[in-house]
This record gives sequence, C-alpha cells and structure tokens, in this order.
Amino acid sequence: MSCLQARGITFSYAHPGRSRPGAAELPPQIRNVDIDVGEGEFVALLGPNGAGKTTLLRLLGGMLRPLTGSVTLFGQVVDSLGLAQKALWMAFVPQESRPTFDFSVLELVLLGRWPHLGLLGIEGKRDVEIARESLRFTGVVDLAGRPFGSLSAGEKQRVLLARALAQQARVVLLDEPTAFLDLGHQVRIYELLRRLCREFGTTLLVASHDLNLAGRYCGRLVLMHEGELVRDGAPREVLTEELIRSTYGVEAQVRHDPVAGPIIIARGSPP
Amino acid sequence: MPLREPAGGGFRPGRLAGICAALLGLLLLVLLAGLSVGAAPVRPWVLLSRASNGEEAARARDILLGLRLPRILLAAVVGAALSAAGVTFKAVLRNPLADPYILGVSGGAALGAILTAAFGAGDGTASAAGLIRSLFAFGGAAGTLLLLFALARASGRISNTSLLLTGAVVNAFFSALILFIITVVDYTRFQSVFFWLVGTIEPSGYGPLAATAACVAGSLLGLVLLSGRLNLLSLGDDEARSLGVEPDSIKKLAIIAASLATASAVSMSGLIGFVGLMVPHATRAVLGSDHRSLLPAAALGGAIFLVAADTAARTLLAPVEMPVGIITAVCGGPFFLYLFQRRRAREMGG
Repeated sequence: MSCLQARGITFSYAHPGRSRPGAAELPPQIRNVDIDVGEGEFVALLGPNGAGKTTLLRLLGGMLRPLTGSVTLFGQVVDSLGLAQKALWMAFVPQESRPTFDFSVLELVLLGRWPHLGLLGIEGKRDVEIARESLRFTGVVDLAGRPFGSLSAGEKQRVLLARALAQQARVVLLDEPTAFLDLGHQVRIYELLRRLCREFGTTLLVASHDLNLAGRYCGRLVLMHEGELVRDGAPREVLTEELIRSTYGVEAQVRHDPVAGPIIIARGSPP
Repeated sequence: MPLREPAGGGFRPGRLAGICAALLGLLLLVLLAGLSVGAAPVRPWVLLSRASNGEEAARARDILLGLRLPRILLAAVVGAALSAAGVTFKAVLRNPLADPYILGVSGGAALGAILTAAFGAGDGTASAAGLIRSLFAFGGAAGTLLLLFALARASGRISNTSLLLTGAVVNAFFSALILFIITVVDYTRFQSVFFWLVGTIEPSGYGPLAATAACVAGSLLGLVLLSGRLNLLSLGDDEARSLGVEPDSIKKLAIIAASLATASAVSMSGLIGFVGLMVPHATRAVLGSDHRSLLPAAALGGAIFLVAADTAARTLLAPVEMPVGIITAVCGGPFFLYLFQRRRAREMGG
C-alpha cells in the first residue's frame, strides 16, 4: 500500500507573475513528478547537484507547496492536513541542524516529541523515556547531557535521527544524512536506517549522493535529473553506465556484486 | 557550564518554580534596598513605627510612597519587559545580537517623544508633559510595528533577513528625522528629551505605572505561552514546520507581544540600552537555552538588574541623578565582552 504519494507536482522558486520577463523562462525546479512510496520501503532519491532532490523532499514533507499537483500522506492531502497532524505521521531529518542557541542533546531530541504534547507543550516522564530510548537506538544515549554544538558531525546526525525517532512518525524523510560523514559513519548511518526499516517498518525516503551506499542498502532507487524522475526501480535497473553518463556526465564502470551490491567506479568525464 | 544535570530529565515545572521563587526573593530584596536609599535619609521602616510625629511621618510617606516606590516598581516592570523582549527577538530572528530595539520600535518611539518636545507639548507641568510624551512614544512604536508588518506582508513570507534590514532602515530613517527636527527647532527645547533618549526612570504617578504594568504583564503572559514554540523557531523554519509548527504565525504573535512590551517600557523610560541584549545572554549562560525556563527567568533577572541599576543611578552621585541608561551601558558593555570572550575561549578549546 502506498503511504506517500505525489501526483503531477510542479514547483518553481521563481514566483509566478512576479519574476522579471527574462526570468520567466527559467525551467521549474520540479517538473511533473509522480512518485509512490509504499509502506515499509527504504527508497533512495539520487541525482546530481541541482537535480531537485532536496526540493522534492521539501515538497513531499509539506515544507513547500507545489504549484500544481498534490501530495498525499496515508491518503490525505498534505496541504489540508495541518502541520501538527502531519508531524505525527512524517518526520524530516535535515542535512544539518544549526540551532541559534545551543540545546543539550536530550533537549533537542525532546523537541521531536512536540507534536505529541498538549497545548502547553510540556513533556512528561514518558516523553523523556521515549527520547532516551531513541538516543539508545542510534547509539548516542551517553551524550544526552552534552551541548549539541559540541558534537562531531557523525554524532550530530545520530542525534537528529533520534529526534525523528522520538517523533514516532511512520514515514521519515532524510536529506543527505551522510553528506558530512566519513566512510565508517556513512555505513553505520545506513545500517541504522535499515534496522529502523526492518524492525519498526518505518518508511524511509533518503536523498543521497552516494550511489554505492544507496545501492547497497536501499531496495529501490529513484533517479532524478533536471527536475524530473528519469528512472525508478531496483539498483540493478537504475545504476547503469548509460544512465550515470546521461545524468551525472561521468564515464563509470558498474559491476553488480551479488553480496556487496552495485560497485561503481568513476573513470572520468566523457571525452 | 550551564547548570543542568548531566543526565537531564527534560523540562520540569517544579524546577522552574524553584528558580522563579529564588529570583522573586532576590527581586524583593533589591526592591527593599532601592526603597531604603536615596538623596533624602528616609528609611522604609519609618512607615512601620507609629511613634513618629505627624509632619515628619507625612514627609517620609511622601518620599517613600510618592517618589521611590513608583520609581522602583517602574524600573522592575521596564527591566522585565526589555529582558523578555530581548529573549524573544533573539529567538524569532535567530540572531544573538537582536535586542528589543532591533526592528525599529525604538526609533518610532524616539520620534514620537521628540515631536512632543518640538511642538511644545513638553511645557506645562512635568507629570502632564511626561504623560503626553509617553503616549506619543507609544504611538510611534506601535506605528513602526504596523509599518513593519505592512512591509513584510508585501514581500510574502516573513524572512528574518528582510525583517532585520527593514528594522535597520527604519531606525536610520527615524534618526535622520530626529536630527532634522532638532536642527530646525530651537534645541534648548530638547534638554529633557536628551535624558529620555539615553534612558531614564523618572518618578511617575501610579496611574501610568499601572497601565504600563498591565500592558507588560499581558505581553509577558503571551510570551510565556509561546515559549515552547520559541524553542522550535530557533531551529529554523523548515525544522519548525516538520515538527508541526508554522513559524510565520508564531513569529508574528511573538513579535507583536514583544513589541508591545518594548513600546510600553520605552514610552515610560526612554531608550534604556543593554538590558534586552545582556540579561538574556547572562540568564542563558546559567540556565541553558530552553525558552520555557529562560523567558520567565530572564524577565525576573531584567527586573532585578534594572532596579539595582536605577538605584545606583540615583545614589552614586547624589544629589545629582544620572540617566540609568548610562549605568546599564557601563555595566553591560564590559560584561558582554567578557561573555563573548569566554564563549570564544570555550569554542577554541573544543
């Protein structure tokens, strides 16, 4: 069953009617995108810089409104859902978080409980328990009392993931969660995500630049190019030498290993 | 290092109540001290002794209840308003340098005050002049806020950068207008306004004091109710939205409440600087960044600080009184640099 669905969504950062005559010809950032994410799927959104991955995530997450088309979450139109209700069903993990003022790790994760709190927004014992449980799951419960700003990039990403877990949403969108991480941290984040998907049935949609990791851990890849979806399928169907050439402009050698998944080696830009 | 337990158990209302009770106790002490000192050697316990003779007791009562008490109460109200507004503007604009005057509310208020002086409304009895000036200053501040929202509405979403820029431009524009008026009109008229521009607490009647206190109390209540949402706002718009809160509507409410508090304070006491900038940072250094604790604690801290500063302003050079704005700036500047240095040292050390 599809839990997150977009039909014919188009979006442009240039405001219609307000842009200068020349600017009107700018191509829209998202062009007529249809996507269906089924419950419990672990999907990666791939594509070169500027392909529209982050914009599509923000549209699906209800942080931007599409110009045309609609996004539905569990059959409800996201726009009419209300942010509070939406936050109970869908969480978002940003590439990085820079709170203006430093919160402790536990305080930051407790903010994930906000959609569940009452009118006054005061958390109870159970909320603290859930926040600690989430930190335990992502392996950083020892950092609960530390200022968030003092953590390393890898630790911060785990804390942000814990906040999404504390939100107890069934769908989690992630914007390049491994962008600033070394190889070890990248792998451990993807392993965490896979556990989350398998153990809790959480639906995950992750924008990524890492074709190898995405191909290794995600059952389904969606490749974007210039605001459109160009291919949607299993790693074997999406990560091909022709598609990598036509979207990333890179000559690559692709091998699909039965155990390690796809192995992609870039050989240079085409002559 | 902030005073939170290492394994912190989240926000606990009981702990906040304890902190507030302690700060309230301190505020009462400072108020009592402020009531006890002054140019005339009158002590508050005179009121309690029944044995004093008629005339002297009446004079003491006049000084204590007619001059000192409304003044220290006003200082407390103004300090609480400026400090709470400072906390709010820092969170809403996501800018540690934001203070209650950053959006130009101060410029509008100053223009209103200058206008009353320029057109001679400042003549007549002192208290009537003060009241008219307060009303004009409040009008100027409120007008600025309306202008700000009209400009923000025209550009669609409420962006922090455009708010900050608009505030800076509005302040600069009003400063130019003020200088123009001072140049064109006989400048001896502006001597009383000069103190006001630096920030000064003057004895006021209980009527204006009550009106100010009511406005400030209303705004503070609103801000305390919004304080949990201010935590989400300080994460940024996208994260606030993904956690279920629409940042624009919270920003609007918070700016209105904080500006009302600022306008009420400024209209009574002029442009007292540094309270709204400094007290929030000092409170945050002790209590951490959770606005649900920070906002009420900073309001009480601001009240304590300004009562103490005003008491110093009227006793240090007695019988000459300084504008309290000088004291807050003299204490505030170095303290701020110290905080900043300490933070940098901590960041450098990892």
